[in-house]
Amino acid sequence: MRRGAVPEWVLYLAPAMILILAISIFPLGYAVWLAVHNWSPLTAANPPFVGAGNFESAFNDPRFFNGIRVTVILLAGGLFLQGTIALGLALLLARKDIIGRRALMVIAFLPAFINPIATGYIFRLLFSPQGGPINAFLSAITQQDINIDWVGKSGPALIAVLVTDTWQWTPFLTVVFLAGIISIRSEPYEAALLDRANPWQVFRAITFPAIVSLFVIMLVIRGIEIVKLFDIIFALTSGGPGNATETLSFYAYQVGFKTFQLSYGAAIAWVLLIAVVIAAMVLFKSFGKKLFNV
Amino acid sequence: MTDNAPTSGYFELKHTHVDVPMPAATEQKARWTVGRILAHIVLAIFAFIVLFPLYWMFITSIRPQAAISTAGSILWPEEITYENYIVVFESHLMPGIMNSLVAGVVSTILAVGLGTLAAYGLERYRFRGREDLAFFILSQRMMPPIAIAIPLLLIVRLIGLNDTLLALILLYTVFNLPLAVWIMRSFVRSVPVELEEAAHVDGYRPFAVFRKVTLPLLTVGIATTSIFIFIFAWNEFLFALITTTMAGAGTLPLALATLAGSPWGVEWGKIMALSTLAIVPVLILYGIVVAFLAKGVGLGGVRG
Repeated sequence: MRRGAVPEWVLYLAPAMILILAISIFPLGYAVWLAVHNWSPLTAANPPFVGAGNFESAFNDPRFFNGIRVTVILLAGGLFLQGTIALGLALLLARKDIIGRRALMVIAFLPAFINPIATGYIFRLLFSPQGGPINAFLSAITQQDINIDWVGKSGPALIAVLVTDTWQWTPFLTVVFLAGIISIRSEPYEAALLDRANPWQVFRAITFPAIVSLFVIMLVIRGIEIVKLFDIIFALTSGGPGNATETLSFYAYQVGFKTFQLSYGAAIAWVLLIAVVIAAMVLFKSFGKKLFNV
Repeated sequence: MTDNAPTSGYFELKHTHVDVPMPAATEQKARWTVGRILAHIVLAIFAFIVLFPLYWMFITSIRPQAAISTAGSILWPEEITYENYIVVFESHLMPGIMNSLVAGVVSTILAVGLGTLAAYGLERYRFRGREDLAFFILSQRMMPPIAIAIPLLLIVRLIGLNDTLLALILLYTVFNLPLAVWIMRSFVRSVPVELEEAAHVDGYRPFAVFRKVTLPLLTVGIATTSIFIFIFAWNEFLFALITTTMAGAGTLPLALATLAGSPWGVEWGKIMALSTLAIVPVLILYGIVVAFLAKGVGLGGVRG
């Protein structure tokens, strides 16, 4: 395109690339080095080489597999709940005869603005077993004395994490989907009206195909965020009770920063990274580059 | 709009929010069918679920500590106190807010600035491996932060940046760069290339074309991107947790966690007061960007 001694594009990209390589890629390499050694505060000066030892430990560690299980549950549950609820609400909000539609759109931004740590603490209060509002509300509608120990029991604690993440991100997803639906041209809908198509047919034939790539990419982004989820778990359950809500990310944090087995933590984090990279590549290959807009 | 990416989604969202025409007349004329009534009921429940936790946050922040644990289903505080806010403003938590502001603002400027340059390089030049490079940058966003948290802690300590704002600024800049590049790229794409070519013909040097022609047209994009990046930096917790302390460069989320881990029990009132305060800068920024978009600043340029 344009010529020079150093290609111009290099000058535009160099500052960003240098920072990324120095602060993101170099530590990744360092993490590999840590993972194949046995670093501990005692052996900091000259940690012994252990090869794949840390990875072998991980694959014999029940807590590691528990971390995978919790991550997968949160991922599947979160994507299902957030995807369906947000799409359903967006379809409702796309109706032009909704009173207070604009106010609802403004309201829908609010949860995404809340600090996730704060969100975690807010929901710890809401889920509080002694007369927290959620138990009080459930008692009121069932006319029974509901006393669920939300963050103190395994099943309810997982549900609590799921509900909290869903509360924080579903409204935002709704607005994004709504923006996609609104930008669909009106001609197909007019044609459908003439053909007397029912709402479900209209959705299947016009609306969904038009926003399917937006839908998929938002779920991919949400999926990545759920795998990385840390703050909400930290504030709401700290991974407990026991290890019931301990995702792989959270377990790697516990190992690295609570018990200072930095090498083992780095190995677990690398397994997680490899899983994410493989998942991303599969998605990238199956949905094509177009989807990622790169 | 089938190849709609969230970047353009974000963009449209702002427009939607501002521009959706809401003719009051049709609203009144619309008939109350069963479907419409059900839609209103569902959306009312939605609004309630979204707002209630925020209401509870605020209401807890003005309750006396003694009343919080027994609050239960009492929806309105019997007794209002502003003590929690006063304590937050006067305590060691205030520097946490300042640290968050400095780390957030500086890293946002750096990330959006460098991101805009990189986006321009990726979008306006054709070179081999361009798409791979773009995907590589984007893929950085997918990386779980915990994967580099452990080595970064050691590196930060080694070079003596432990518990400093400089470390946080550098980290937040890099973590948000991929998003900045990604969003800014779609904004650069929307600037008509003919404008740049015309300036080129007029004898502008390449960088002058970028600075004097493209950059002014990117104002809206830069504003929109900045608010997203700032929110991410403002809310970041993991790296603040591992590299800082409240006596040093600790940020607001760390202050929240510190209050929750207090030896005098969880100080709910103060946590909720600080949580409420934490939204203020975000809301202000959001308001500015919306007002900015409504005025259509910088949306000129050539059409057709």
